[in-house]
Amino acid sequence: MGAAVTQEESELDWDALYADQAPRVYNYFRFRLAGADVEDLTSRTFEKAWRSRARYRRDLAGFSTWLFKIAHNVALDHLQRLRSHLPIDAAAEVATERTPERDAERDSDLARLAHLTASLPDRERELIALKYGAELNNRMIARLIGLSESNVGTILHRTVQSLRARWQADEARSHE
Amino acid sequence: MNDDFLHRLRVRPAPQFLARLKSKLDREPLRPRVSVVSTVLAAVLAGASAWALASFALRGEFAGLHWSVWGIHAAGSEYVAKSAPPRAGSPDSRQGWGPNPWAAANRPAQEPSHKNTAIATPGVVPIPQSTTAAPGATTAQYSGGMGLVQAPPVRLRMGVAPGAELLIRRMVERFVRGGNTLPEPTVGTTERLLASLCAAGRPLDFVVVPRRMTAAESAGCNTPWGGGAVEVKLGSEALVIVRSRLYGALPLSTLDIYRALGKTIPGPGNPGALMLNRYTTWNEVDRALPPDRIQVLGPAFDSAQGQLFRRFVMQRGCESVPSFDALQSADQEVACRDVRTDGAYASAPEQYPALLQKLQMLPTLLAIVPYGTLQLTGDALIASPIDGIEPTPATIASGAYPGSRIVYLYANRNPRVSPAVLRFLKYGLDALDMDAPSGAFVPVPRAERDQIRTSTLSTLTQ
Repeated sequence: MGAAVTQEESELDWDALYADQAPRVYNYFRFRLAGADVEDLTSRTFEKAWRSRARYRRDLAGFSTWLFKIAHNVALDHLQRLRSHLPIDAAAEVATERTPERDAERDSDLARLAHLTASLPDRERELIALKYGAELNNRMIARLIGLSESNVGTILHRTVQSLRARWQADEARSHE
Repeated sequence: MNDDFLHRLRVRPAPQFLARLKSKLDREPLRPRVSVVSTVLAAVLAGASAWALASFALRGEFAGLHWSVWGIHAAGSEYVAKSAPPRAGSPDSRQGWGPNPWAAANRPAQEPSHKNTAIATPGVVPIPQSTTAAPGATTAQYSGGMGLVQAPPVRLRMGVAPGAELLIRRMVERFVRGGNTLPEPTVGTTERLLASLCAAGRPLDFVVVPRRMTAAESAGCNTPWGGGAVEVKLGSEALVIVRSRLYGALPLSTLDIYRALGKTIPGPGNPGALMLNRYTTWNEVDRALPPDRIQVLGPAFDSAQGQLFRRFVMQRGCESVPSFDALQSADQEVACRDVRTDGAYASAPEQYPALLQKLQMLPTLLAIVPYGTLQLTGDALIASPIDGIEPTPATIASGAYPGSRIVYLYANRNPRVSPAVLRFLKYGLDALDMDAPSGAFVPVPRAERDQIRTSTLSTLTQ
């Protein structure tokens, strides 16, 4: 048993997986947890995954699915800690204040998006982060969330439509 | 707002962060899946081993063992490599762009300590620090050529200059794999190391530096205690800037490269001050260049290869800025050291197929790769001439190509350490005995290599 797992483990190119997945996990946290220390959360996710990579079973789940399960748990831990200290809207405001100069516009858009998604149900926020932050396809998101693939597509479509309407309404208000 | 807008909100994590995290992960121990039976078995074995080691140490037979383990501190050394020996197939042993096990080698140069500060630890009998074994104590036996049958009881002291780390790493790895003791490394500038090679007191036994010794430095070794220095040309290290052959080569100068990739550059309006680099296209850097977006992939800049590129190309470009002398010395250092983190420069994928795919998809994308990688790609990639010089075996061997350096080893001819140095060279030169480039290393042509080997042997055995 142990030998079989070791063999499976050794077949994976962990360096390539890291290069591919690190930006996805990083952006997942950017989309999911506005104002959080994204580098710290990404590090925690990979440290957990790396320490227990011998337990990763390719026959049970794809690597992305397994990794994002870990990332999801890290995000939940973070939210639980955050809720005991700071309301989520306040976190979004902190993010706006900390916008780095070089990515000012992009981060400003992300902060606006975070402000809009703050009022969405948790599941929709998770879907947005997985789809646009982690760039996972609907099939993988469905496996992670426990929904059907078509259901994921429908919810995402509606959520983006709703966000677009509110975004445009915000812009119209700001031009008045 | 649409899908495209949402996707564009993604950013590339800072390369430094990715490199730092990867380096940390590489040190993470793997938690194996273990069964109850294997746990019990391991406990029994561990107990037995502990008992055996304890009794071994108590008899004082551990003396000297602490010298032979990679990464164990040796008293009296300012800087000692701390990393574990790279595993076979790990990024470190593949000349990839992974973390630099010679991180200690990037520390600022300091005078090597000459103090003998061996500290006895319980169960360990300290051995003398002196590298100069008593007359007649050298046990190296020669079996002809450069073959040796027994290791001399000397721990070599080597100096490594920035720019020579990748090459010396190959040599040391082979030497240690041969059952030899890791030489005690000292890091410093080329000038300081060459001066330490023949200094009075406790000189270095050999140094590896990315330039040739000057006549004055050579004369400094011809002292009663120095005994002269032996020069061994080890080979070259070269990095090249490439893009897909589909889009042709982009000729660049070191100044262009610095202006495109330096984080801060002297401002055109105020040459005495630095400004944040906001160039986005190559024609902003130099009007003769195309209006392509500046996008360069390469090794993490805190990796050994990244350091190499910085010293080879960026430094030269930085110093060639017309207003460089108008900067204060602290600003000069910052200007030549820091690389953009705003996306113009990003870490390249370590896997060559992924890199090639990116280069073939994006006409404006450039990549910095080891010369050996270019050789492996056939016709897929084309290298940029730098300052008008194409990277070829000839321009690299002569040192004319700005992205390359010739690396030399200088050994102290002190007869009491030369057998040990000779042993190191036997393994070290074997590690460099190849005909094709490998990674950033470009070997000396075979005929010249054979000549170097013969003359080194004859000089050191005289």
